[in-house]
Amino acid sequence: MNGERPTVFVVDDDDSVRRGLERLLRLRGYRVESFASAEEFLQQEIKYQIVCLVLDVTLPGINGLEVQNFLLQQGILVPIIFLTGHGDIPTAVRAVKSGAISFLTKPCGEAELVSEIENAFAICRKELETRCEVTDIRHRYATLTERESEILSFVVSGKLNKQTASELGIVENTVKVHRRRVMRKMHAESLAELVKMTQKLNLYQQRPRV
Amino acid sequence: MDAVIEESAEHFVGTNGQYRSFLDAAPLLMCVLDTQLRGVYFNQNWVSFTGHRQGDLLGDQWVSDIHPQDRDRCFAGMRKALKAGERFDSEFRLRRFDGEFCHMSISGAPQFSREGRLEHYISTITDVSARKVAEDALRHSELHRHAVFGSSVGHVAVIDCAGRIIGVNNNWLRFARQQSGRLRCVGCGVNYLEVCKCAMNDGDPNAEAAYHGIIAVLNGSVPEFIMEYRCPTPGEELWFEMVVHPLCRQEGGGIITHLNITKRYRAEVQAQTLLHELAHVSRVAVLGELTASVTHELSQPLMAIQTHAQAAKRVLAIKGAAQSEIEELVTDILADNSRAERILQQLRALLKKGRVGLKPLKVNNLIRNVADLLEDEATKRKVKVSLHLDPALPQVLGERIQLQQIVLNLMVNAFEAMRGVKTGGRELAIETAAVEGDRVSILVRDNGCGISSDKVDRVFEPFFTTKPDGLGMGLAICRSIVEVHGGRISVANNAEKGVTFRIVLPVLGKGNL
Repeated sequence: MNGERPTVFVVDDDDSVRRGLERLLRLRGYRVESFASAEEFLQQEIKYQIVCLVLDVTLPGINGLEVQNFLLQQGILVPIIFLTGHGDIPTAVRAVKSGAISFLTKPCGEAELVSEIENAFAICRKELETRCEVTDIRHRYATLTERESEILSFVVSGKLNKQTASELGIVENTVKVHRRRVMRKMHAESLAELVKMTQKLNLYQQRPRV
Repeated sequence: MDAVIEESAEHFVGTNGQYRSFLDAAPLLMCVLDTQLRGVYFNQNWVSFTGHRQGDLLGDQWVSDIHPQDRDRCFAGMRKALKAGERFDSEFRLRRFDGEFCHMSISGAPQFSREGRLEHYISTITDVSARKVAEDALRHSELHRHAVFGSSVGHVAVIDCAGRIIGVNNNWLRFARQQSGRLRCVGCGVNYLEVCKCAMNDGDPNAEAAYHGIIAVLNGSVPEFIMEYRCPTPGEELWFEMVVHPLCRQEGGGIITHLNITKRYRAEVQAQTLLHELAHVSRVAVLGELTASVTHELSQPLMAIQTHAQAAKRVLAIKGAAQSEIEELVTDILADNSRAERILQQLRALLKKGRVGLKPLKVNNLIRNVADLLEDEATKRKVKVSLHLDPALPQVLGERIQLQQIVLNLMVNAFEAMRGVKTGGRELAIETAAVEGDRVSILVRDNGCGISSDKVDRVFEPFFTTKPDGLGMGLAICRSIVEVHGGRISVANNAEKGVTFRIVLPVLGKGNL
């Protein structure tokens, strides 16, 4: 669905390792951008959708775990594959708990690395898909009239047509008409689907239920 | 008084008036004794020396002035001479008028009558007190000299200014007797310098050093000469210390002492072996703490090799791939391989137990090696390591591993000390410089927590530690290593923050070996 060429960011302070990874991953057909330090990488704006970060844990200055924290705080979603020369368990646990895809010990094989990179891309694609879907739903939601979105909130909270009618002070048939129109505009085939859509939009979570 | 004596005295004086005035005029104590050794006449000097009157000396009375302890011995000798009609010489102590006993030498000449009959002895007495005192002093000093000389555990020889041996003690003789060949005869009369020269010509480097050392002491250009040397005796290997001192007299000369220091030497060797083992254990322990960093250091080139090789495989699979691309990959693989090898070599050297021995070393290189090995640890601990190495630094003589261990320990200590410093401010600087003309200094400066002033003097003591899980051996071992290398190590708090460790080592060829 998305024809974008996947991009791997490599951050490693070891020149030879960096160069080797860059060359190998390019031969695998990825776009590769490499950086000798976390600072250099963080100055970069991530313009691509399908990306992953191959990150050395031990770096001069800001280290790998700190990069991960920084990205989390900034809400920048990049799947991270950690590389380390010495896989100590506490560090690995911390990294994975904070959402790292995996924690590989150097030297690691091409197959292992590429499989993790593909995992990362799959996550990106899935995320992207979800993001597209949400945009769609948001568009459809925007076409609803004020009354229709009001009716929608009653429907998804499980109210019967009769209850809705009495609360809004209208006749039940009018509610039914509105409801049909909401279903059509939102492209929902069932009530369950409609509920899912509102959940994806995160519509009624911040507000207290009526 | 015996009538006979009185008569004989009367007789002597009467018949020898001239003789008497001659006796009285002599500047000595003189007396005439008869054949029974009884006093017949005592001259004026005698009378005034003893403070008695003539009449109180005659006969056996004069004997009472002789010291009771000397009487028997003295008279035995005189009687023997008398029997044989010969002159006698003896010594005794004679009481002076003030009661003091003085050492006297008596000498009696027999006087015969015309018929050849022994008539009397004319005895002369000289005061030998002064001589006696001098003799006693001499005997005393001789005794003293003998006691010192003889009881010295060393082999002692005294030489004159030309190197000729003029005296040896028993130990010297005993040792010489145990030797074979030329050395067997090295005793009085032999020129020691010649002995050294012969050995020199046989290629004995110790003999050459000894030769020049002795000459330097003899001509006064050095106050003493000390040399330790190995002596391959037939039985066992012995170690000696040779000391040459000048002989304090006008004609010059010297005293040569060879002291057997084999026991001391063995103890030193044993202590060094222990230090060596301890140093190894502590080194391995430090490296153990650094496992994470060290493995990381090794994993980098391995990772690089892996990626290069896999890339090469991919390139080879492409039809018509450029030869140059493959070449580049293989070159990269080889470069990373030698990098891994270097790291392994350094590690192996540090983990090794055997002695490598003293070698000329470039201090800068060994500091760089350790800094490389700790690069990852420094990165992990966010410490900025800077090296300021004097490019013109002279070489030192030392054991590479041991000196590296010092740098390793000091660096790891500095890392620990900077734990509490906020990141971005942790700085470790190592500086080398040529100092004091013939020395090399290594400074290791951190800006960590420092050492409280009451502990700064104790950090080099064994089992002294400020770390909760420290053994307290690191710096003690550092100090021992530095001292074995003839150097010094010290520490001082910096004016602002942290401490500086200072190591000073002698330059190759000066003060070591």
